[in-house]
Amino acid sequence: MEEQIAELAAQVAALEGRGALTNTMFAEMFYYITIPLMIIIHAGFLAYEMGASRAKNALSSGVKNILAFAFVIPAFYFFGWWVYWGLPQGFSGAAGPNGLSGAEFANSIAWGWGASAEFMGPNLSDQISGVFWGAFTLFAATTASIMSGAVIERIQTVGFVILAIILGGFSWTLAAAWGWHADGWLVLNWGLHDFGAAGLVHAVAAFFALGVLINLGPRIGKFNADGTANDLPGHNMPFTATGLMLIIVGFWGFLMACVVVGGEAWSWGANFATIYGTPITLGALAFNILMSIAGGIIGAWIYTKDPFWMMSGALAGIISAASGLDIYFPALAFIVAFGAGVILKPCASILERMGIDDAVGAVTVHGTIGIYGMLMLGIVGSGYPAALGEGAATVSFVGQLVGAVVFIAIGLITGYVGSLILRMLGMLRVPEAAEIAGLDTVKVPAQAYPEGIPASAPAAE
Amino acid sequence: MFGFPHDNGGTWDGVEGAVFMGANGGAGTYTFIAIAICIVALVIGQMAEAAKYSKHK
Repeated sequence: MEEQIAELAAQVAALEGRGALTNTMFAEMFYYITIPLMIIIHAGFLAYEMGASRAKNALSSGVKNILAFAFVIPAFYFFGWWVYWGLPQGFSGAAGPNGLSGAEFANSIAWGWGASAEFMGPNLSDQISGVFWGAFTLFAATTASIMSGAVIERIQTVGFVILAIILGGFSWTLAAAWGWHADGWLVLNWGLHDFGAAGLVHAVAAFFALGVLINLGPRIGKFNADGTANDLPGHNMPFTATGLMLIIVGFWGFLMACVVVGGEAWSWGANFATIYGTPITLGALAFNILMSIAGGIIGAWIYTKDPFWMMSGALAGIISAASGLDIYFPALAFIVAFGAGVILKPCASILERMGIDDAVGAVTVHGTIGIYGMLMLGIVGSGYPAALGEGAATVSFVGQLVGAVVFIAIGLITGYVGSLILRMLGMLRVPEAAEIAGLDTVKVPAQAYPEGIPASAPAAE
Repeated sequence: MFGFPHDNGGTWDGVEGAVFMGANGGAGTYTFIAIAICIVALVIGQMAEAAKYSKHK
């Protein structure tokens, strides 16, 4: 009898071991898959930006976008990851109550040198740090791409890359540390809830872009002497619309990566959770992402009938509901997103009347709508616990408003100051003659359309 | 800095933890060289860009 019990116990232990290993591999695979999905966002931004550029700038816009991607990745490796883990309690680097933050903690896991390098490279005992870092890195690269579209056709390449490093390595990461971390002071003190990063990714990147645009100025020919604006259409609307659709595809990976897998030592419990530890299901994302896409498209169609704004409406729809994708009722997500689609174009027009030349509407789609989404959640989601445990702060309009103001400030201040310094160094804007000639001619050793865009050869008989 | 970082007879048997080149020292050197490459690339890129713009002033 004792032998049978011992044998049974051994079998149970073996099964538990296999179950744990399967869960660990599932968790690793879960985040790994989000990385190529999020790279689709960048394929989308690449197409979107090149299509939205005039033909004379098509390739230089692409070069800029590709380089932002390439430089943000190492920047996030070198210091961005440390910012996320080190500063949730503020610039003091103090440790938070969950024991997952502070300068000392970050020093032990997030530098590519010393003892912490163990967690910043291949490690058979750590199957999560690399894929988790990878997912966060793609969030960082997304912020740079959001800024990238707004500034096309007149910004210098290296100046732009430096701004992308600041945004992707520091600005959004600081916002994430404060508002997208269980130890973040905005979460603990104000009950901030921004599950899908409407504010801390989209709005921060957009207001960073706005700060840059103030120093960069409009493209030549955008505004007349009386202040009225001219349309400077891109050379390939189908390319732009396809790019927007690719961005939307990639956002499934982005939002998937906002979920914390259960059952691991670093998990919030046995099941899926948000980054705050609060419960979520992937079903919630399926319901609400699809309904918000639909709402955004329909809202934009009602107002504009324009395919560019309809596809932007789809993106705006997701962003508007992103803060509460875990808790919205699908029809409510649709309503919020519909509102975003309707206000999208008028908000972009207001910005234009203020003399801001945002070439792709990034400030509006990601910034205005990101803030709109955060505040809407504060109204309709008031009272939800923002974290686990007794006495956790709850979601409120005031808390969401405080978070929105902080995110706007982080983006705007760092974008404005960074671009101001570059302008003083002569590294921000291209010379007027270069802008008029077209940036492809000036600095790209390749042609976008070496044969022009001729009519197709006759079809076969 | 180079080569297999575990001193256990050149086998994977029993190997745990970090397995990257430099795990036994030198990872930081690689990191700082990579940082330097990025900075130098930006400097060279800026010089090349400025030279292009100088022809279009």
